[in-house]
Amino acid sequence: MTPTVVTLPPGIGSRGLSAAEYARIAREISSMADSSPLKTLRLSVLSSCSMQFMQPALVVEGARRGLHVKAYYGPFGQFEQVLSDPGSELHAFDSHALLLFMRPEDLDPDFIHRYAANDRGRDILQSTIDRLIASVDSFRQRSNAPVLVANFATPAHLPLGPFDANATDSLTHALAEANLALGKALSRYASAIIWDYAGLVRDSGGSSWTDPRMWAIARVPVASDRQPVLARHLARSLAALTFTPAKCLVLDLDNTLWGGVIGDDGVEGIKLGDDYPGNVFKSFQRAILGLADRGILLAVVSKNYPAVVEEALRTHPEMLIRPESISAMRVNWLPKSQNLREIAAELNIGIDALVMFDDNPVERAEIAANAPEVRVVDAPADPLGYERALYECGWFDTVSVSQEDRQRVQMYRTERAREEIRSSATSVEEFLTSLEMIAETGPVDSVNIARVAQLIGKTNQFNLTTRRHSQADVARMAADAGYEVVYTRLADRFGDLGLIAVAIVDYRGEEAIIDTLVMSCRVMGRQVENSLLAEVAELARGQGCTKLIGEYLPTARNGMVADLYEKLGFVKTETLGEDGARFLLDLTQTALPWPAPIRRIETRPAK
Amino acid sequence: MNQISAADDLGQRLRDVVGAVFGVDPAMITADASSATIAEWDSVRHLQLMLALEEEFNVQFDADELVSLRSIALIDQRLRASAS
Repeated sequence: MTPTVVTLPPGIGSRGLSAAEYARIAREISSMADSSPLKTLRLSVLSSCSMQFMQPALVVEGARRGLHVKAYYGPFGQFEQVLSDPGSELHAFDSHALLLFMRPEDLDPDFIHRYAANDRGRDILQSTIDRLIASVDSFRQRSNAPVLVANFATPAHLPLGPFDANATDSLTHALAEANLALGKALSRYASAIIWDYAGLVRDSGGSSWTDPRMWAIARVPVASDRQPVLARHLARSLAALTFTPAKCLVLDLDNTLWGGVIGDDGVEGIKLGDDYPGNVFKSFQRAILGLADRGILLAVVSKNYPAVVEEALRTHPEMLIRPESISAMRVNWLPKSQNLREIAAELNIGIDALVMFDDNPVERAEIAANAPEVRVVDAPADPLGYERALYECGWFDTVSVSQEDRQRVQMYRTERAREEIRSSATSVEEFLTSLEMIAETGPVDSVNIARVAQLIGKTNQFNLTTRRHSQADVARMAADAGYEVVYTRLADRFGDLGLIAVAIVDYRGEEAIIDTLVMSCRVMGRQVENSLLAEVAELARGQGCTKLIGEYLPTARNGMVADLYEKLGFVKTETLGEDGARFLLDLTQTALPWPAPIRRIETRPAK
Repeated sequence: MNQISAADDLGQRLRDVVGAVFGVDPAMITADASSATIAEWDSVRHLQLMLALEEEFNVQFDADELVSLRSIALIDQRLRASAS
């Protein structure tokens, strides 16, 4: 799911709002019906200090990111009581996410000021971490919703002032170590993650973060003029947990990747280099390549002359983004909305997976009008603000980056090589054989579970049931003897394609029901699904099942797999809902053969 | 007296901010309104109101004032004192 661009009450756009405006607009949003285009997100907050002052700003900043945030704030200082009581308001609230905000200085007021004197500082930090972890455990007994755990901010005033960081037994060191320890402890949990409060406080000017009056009167740790900053940071995190991240950044060229207009100024005349203003654009190119490093595809849409663009990308000595980094390119004079649709089709991703960065507000408006699914960065007029706009759009945020993500750009490159041999092969069979595919199928384990959950969470097209099981759900099913979570990894002569398909099978006596079947679009048309289903059928037989049952639940995006089961010899037995269906394969009569073009490698034993 | 006249710019701005923070019609906010007469005027919204007023009128209250300015009349008087 992608965030809906919502028309908020007139004029709020992205500008700063006064406290009174936040209060008024938050009330308008809160009174909107649940049928509004905003996605409802129920957030519970448990904190050691007073956090509900952020609520008006959180509602407004949430709406700017497509969310209708409804929040429950626990009585402050209470964690264990609220979490362990099955009848508590928190559990009745049915949260989509929980924020744990526990500060060591709230648990023990000596923590900062007397850190050096009493030598208890590290104990206080450790017991804070212990309580946070116990709180996650306690919440997990009743909910699999994501948990955000605020890490520990450096206080405005340190015991040893500007030299605090010198001493290895200082508060500065202890906080850094505690934050690492907290991250490490949370890494054992599915969907329990650090929420970087420390980074937020640091970036926003630590000493002005707190208003001493508000702290003294109401135990509010965040000054009122910083509440919007806090709310934006939290809303961005909640949106990342809720919506599918974008997959591709589409770039304009003139005055975006370089200064000037190449058609007028020529390749030598554009501004790009190590001095102002060329250094602004060069730095922006670095930031863009940083996104590519973690798996974001890059594409170009520019109204320009293809030959001069080609020359600049290949030969300009200061150019960092070279043609190899660009997965799709449209340089012509057509409307950009049309080019964006073509790029989405070429890359085999949804148009809503595209983010456009264009300096020209007229082009941005054309895209917003004619391809409204594309997320368009609100680029500032001054190129010095580009980097910040890109980093802060938040549309590429993911909680974890997998190995597959990091290699994606390379994968798309080898895909083009595959295309070339496809066009030279005389038959499909010959083409598939020439790929020299090797598939490994096996049960999910702790190493690949994040990728398995990511595939289940992100796949839209080759997804039979679109059941978005969380990582915690997958872990639970993997540990349950009544389920099987199986994956396929694929490699071919061009390289490793990674973990690209997952099936979850629910064993019910005679029946083995395929609860989930997803496959990456990258490997469509290569009979990989046949290999995974052959494995599933074999496992089901091993469990003594005689019937293999598949389900198809239609969505706007998964029409391509509507007849998958019937093509493989399953028989339709009943309809599900409007256009969905159940299919049966009699395992005593029909075999699902392993596809000939794919070599099978030894799988680890299933449970 | 701390009468608020509708034609008075400061009085109108004050009522607009109070109305926005509490979600009540500014016309309903009379000169004798206080945390005792407006149900929405609870302790959290009181501080939200104080901070919204600081922003709107470009003033800074001290902590004692943040605690004690719990009526329209007191707020009005305080804002006029710093405006003059």
